[in-house]
Amino acid sequence: MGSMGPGHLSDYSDYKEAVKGKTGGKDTVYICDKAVSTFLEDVATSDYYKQNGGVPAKGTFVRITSSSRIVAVDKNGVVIGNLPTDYNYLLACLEEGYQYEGVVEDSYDQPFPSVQIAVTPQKI
Amino acid sequence: MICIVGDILTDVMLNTPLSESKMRLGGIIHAARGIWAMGIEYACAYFAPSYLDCHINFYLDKMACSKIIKLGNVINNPYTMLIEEPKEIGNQGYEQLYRDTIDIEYNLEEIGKLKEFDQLMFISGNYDMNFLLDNTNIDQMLYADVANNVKDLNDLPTNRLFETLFVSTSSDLFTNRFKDGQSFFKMLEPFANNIVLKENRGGSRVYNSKTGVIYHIPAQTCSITHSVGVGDVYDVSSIVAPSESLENRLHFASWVAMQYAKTTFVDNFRQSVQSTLKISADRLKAFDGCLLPWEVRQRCQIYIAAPDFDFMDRALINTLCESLKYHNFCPRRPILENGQMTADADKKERQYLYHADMALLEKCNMLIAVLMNNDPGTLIEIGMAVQRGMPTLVYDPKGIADNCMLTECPTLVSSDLDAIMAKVFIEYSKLFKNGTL
Repeated sequence: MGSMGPGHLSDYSDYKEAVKGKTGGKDTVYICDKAVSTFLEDVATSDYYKQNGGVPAKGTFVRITSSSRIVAVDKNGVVIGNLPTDYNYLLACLEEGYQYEGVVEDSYDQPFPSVQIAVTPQKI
Repeated sequence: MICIVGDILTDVMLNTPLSESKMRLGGIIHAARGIWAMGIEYACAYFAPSYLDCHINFYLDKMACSKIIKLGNVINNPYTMLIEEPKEIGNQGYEQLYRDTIDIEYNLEEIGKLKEFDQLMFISGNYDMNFLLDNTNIDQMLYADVANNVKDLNDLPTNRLFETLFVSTSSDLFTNRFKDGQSFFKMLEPFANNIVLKENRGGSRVYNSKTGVIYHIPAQTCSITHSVGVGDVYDVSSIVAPSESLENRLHFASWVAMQYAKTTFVDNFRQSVQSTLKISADRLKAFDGCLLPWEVRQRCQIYIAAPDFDFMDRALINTLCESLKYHNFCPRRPILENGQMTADADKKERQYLYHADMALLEKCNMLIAVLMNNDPGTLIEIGMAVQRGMPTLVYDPKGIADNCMLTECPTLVSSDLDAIMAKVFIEYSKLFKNGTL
């Protein structure tokens, strides 16, 4: 019976036979290059909701920035909500020069205020 | 320069439904990857079988290791670790092949070279740490992680005082001796100036032996790719990170550890770490994280909504509950606790079981449903928990959730047990921090 796998160490930078996503130093897609689609948290207590008395309409421009959380803001910098902490890794991406812009994909006032966003990365 | 001291093995992540097969060097190599990613000069002093030497030298050269010392030769053992479950959702099922037949031939001349370094980080293993410590100088800064092969206080080195001692909640020392944080730290006080208790995805607790002050460092908890060696990366990052303050360095280390857990691709890891190095310690400290001390988790009563009947295959429910218990959470299984309704149950029996299960739901502060089929009891309990404002997670391993009420009502629906476990930590951390747990 045959043996599987590369048969030698293959997890380093200049591995010659690297197959992206399997061997070598780089994954198929670097985490900062991934688009993000997610529901926001704390929408009901956000500045946007307080100022406007409702959630932003579908299609509203959003941008990702950071304070004590990773947050989504509108074109004026008003916070619409927090991204789930699963996306805290974006802090390093922002530091690296990535920008994330996109739109409100869906939003509802009932049964509780909820906003879903979709943003794509751009390296400056 | 810092030198990392310990075993080097081959880690083999097995091909399972939870992970793809991957072979990497393990043991102290995880810590080496962490220091390499930070761009700091370092050395490695190791124990391994001779057949691995050429691979170790080759790999550490790729990892820009400045000096490589072989402290001893491991004989009668392949030094291979099989890893069944790399994410530490629960017990990881580590199996070191031929672990009962490990012999080490120490090289005294090479051990003498340990005196050349400013800092020594020992990661406990199959070697005699006391013997190595006898070969260190009094002015060297010593650190140790005692996760492996240290079962009790008698196994801890007494001949030198450590600057920092790292203990994790998955170590034997913790399992055998922990009663509460204060007494645990007091017990370890004679061995180190600082003691760091690593509480997995629930953050860390730090004790300063001189001042008696305890403080917490939140974890950056998220869905991960693996957790193998993440603790070692946390340790070394907290030693070499660019700050005078241990607290600042530990905050930085929690980010580096998260980045190591997110990938097994070293260039991607290094790129993320280099970006994190540009962020100030104050900014990292101000950032929200996950904090859930070990003993607090006993207050995390989790109602398990599932067709937990004796005629069903309960393997998935058992795996979930064992994983929760591994992290010290309290899963409550209504059918096991209150009884299974008989086939010809009368009104009285039905009333009793309904009220007993509802009373149990009332005692719980989270619900996790295991969706094995469209069991009506499970679906109704999901709705009741959501209506009560209780964090409600749906573990859907077969991907059968389709109805929009079912997919949109709960806090999370996922077929990934790791995502469920991360969410348990995150949701309870919120309750803990706002004082409602």
